[in-house]
Amino acid sequence: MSNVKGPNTAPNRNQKFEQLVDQYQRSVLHMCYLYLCDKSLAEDAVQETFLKVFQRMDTFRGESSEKTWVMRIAINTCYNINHSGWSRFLNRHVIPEMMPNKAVQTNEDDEELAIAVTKLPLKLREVILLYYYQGMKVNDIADTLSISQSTVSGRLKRGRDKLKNLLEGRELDE
Amino acid sequence: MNKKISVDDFHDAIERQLSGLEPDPWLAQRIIASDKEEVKVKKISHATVIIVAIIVLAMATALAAGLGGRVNWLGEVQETTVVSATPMPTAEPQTTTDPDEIDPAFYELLDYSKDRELIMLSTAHKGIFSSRIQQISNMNDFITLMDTAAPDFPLPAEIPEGYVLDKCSVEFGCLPQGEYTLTSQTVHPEGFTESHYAVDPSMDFFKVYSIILKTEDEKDYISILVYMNSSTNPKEYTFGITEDQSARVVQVAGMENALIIDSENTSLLAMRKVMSSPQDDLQFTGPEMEPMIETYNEYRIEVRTPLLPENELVRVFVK
Repeated sequence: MSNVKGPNTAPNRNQKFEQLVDQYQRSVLHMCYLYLCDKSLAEDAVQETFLKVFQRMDTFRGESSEKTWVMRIAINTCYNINHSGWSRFLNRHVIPEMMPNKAVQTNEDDEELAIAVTKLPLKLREVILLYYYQGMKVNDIADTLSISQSTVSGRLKRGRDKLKNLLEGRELDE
Repeated sequence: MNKKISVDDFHDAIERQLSGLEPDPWLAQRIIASDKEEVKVKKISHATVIIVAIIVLAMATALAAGLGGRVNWLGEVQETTVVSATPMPTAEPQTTTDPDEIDPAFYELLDYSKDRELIMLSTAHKGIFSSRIQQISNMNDFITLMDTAAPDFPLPAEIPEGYVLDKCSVEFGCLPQGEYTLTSQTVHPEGFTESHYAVDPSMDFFKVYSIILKTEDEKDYISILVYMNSSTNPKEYTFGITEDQSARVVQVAGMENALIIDSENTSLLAMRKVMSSPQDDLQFTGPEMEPMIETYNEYRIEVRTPLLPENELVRVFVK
């Protein structure tokens, strides 16, 4: 994994930024989509996220992992989008027909899982995405969301319970 | 016994399902280039966001990477040639404070507002405040409320066959009259202030409503949003459209302008109507600043639906 720290020359800085974008853009985009349930909003959130990353690279102190840092910015960006103006009124639905076209073959289980995730309340959805999709540890999620580890664990449990109800015959592994 | 989904299974399933959602290969270069050209990121205050987020999100499908063009209420399309690092509407920047500095947990305070209490979070440069939001569970209650509190507000004229009410929310703002009294103020170590105001009941006025209709099988929906707005020149006000979207002007009875923006899976019917009696709304911008007044003089209406045919979409609003 690249480290943002290093000699602060422009070419070096730009190169490292490109590495960060290469490394995290796809997973940030997918996470933002499942958070915001809207392709264009998700793309906007990704752009906003990496713009902030670029602007703050020099101030990143390495107190958390690079991934935690990027995800924190991404989640905050999604949060701000989702809580701005009338957006908070909208209960954006995702139905199978609204899912982006697939580039690879999928099955019904994949689709059912993705849609079930979008039906979770946001607080549960974000911890489920960070834990199961981003593969982050509980302490990193707590750091990302500025909440306690016990709160993360509680939300993970509730998220798993809700998904279990939504996914007939399947449940998330603890 | 239920089949277990591991972290890897979960990750792979999402990757497959969203495999068509491709990253922007030029994102890094565009951001770096925008920095070299000293393109300033437009930061707007949340007080402004309350107003312009409506505009931003009305263009919800238009903000991707500067592609496509812009269409005004009259259906005139302009191709977009300037690539912006953060495409945002034309709001005057009022702050340099980064919204990311506000801990998301504090926004939770704004997810609700107790009756007659207005909560504001503010930094030295900006503020964001709650509104009184009322959830309504059936159409009859909604119509009754509208008839008594906001008789001029445009209403759906017809609920398409097969649809039922899913959710309905109404938001009340504050008129610049009566009393608003600061009841408590807390300076948070994170660098912003939480203020609570008691609000005179006479200050309420109907500001926004949202109705979401769904089919009984929950596979289809219609989202209707109606809000007050400060009018802009229809020729100047634009919606962004992406390359895969099309926009056309339609006629809707009682509306000054109406536009349908189609994309692959969604149709947006956007409309505007001049208000018979403009309303002044009280706004707060920061703890040390005087409230300001925003005058609303038009209604904006947006109807979003994934599948409804055009003639039915237009008929949702004929009043």
